Amino acid sequence: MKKGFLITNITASFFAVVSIGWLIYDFIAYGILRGKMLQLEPLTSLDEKLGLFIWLGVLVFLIFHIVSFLAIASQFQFFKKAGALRVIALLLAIVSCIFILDDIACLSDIGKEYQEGLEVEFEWRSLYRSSALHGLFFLVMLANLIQALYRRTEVKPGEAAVHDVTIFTLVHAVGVLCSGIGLFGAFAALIVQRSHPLLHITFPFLFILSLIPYGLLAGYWLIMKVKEKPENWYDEKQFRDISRAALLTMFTTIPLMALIYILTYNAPKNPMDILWFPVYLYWVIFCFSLGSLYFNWNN
Amino acid sequence: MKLGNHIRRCRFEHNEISQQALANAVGVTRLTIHSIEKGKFVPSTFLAFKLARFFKKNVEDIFYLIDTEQENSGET
Repeated sequence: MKKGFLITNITASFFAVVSIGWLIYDFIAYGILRGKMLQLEPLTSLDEKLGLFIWLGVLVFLIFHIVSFLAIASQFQFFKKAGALRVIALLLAIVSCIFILDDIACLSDIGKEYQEGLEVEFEWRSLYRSSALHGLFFLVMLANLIQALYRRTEVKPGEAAVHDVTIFTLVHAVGVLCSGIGLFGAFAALIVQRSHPLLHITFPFLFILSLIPYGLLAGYWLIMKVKEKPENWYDEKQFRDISRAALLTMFTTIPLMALIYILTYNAPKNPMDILWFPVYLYWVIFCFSLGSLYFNWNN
Repeated sequence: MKLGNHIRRCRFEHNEISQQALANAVGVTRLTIHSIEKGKFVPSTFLAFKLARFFKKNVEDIFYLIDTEQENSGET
């Protein structure tokens, strides 16, 4: 376990430094490109190369977020306790990961609207806000990684729990948060963007990005558990708790999906044509995770 | 009918062993031990025997039945 902890945390530290450097580059490149694009001046080949590296930066940020989730999961498992900095880093990682969607949307819009000779000031502001959030996450995550690597020697063997609840709780807490954000996004898309022509393009990005944290942590938990016999994956109370949560999920999902089916039966080309599956998946994760946490803590 | 237990007392008699240490010894989470102690969770026979073996006692010395109807009628 210590090897996995070291690999994920050192890799994340490397990407943290690279990402911070890339973000500084982004701010410099934004400064150069923004002035020219707002004045609708022609871009040189050097400017286009600057833009290309901004897009590469988005990919680097996405990789850093993925590595960060794995590093945070390994920290929770290694230290067996939450820690304020770790929890803040996790929350920021989730929000920052979803804001990568904002980066992609803004960069695409800036490129397209500049070519059409349109005003792109709003997109630039949005891009700066999103970059500031990424910057905050990068710094907090770097501090968290330094603290985790520095304190790794403080953990003495034999003190830790054999059947750990930390990852169980973490996966379900992140499940509640990610699916909650996803449900909010889906209903906002349904109400506010009912006639949005790009729903089928933008929503899949939100769908994927919002589920990355949960998917990674659940995958991490699964990898940890694969070594054990399936009957040891949960202790008997945890098994009872997830069984109750599963029952709750089934009893709430069926009426919800029936309601969606009835409401959209005579409404062809409804946004629900695209949203029904994300809503279903978010709802299942939300109910199951919230139920598991509730029954685990209160019974 | 409810299942009562003396786990808390047994832990104190057993060098004041913590819930976590007991959980580790019998292979469950600390929350499970906590819930059993509070009477919110009824352990399986297997776990009950593991707990009894750990404390070097019989199962009946740790777990007992509480007849809730009698308890209620006794109160009234």
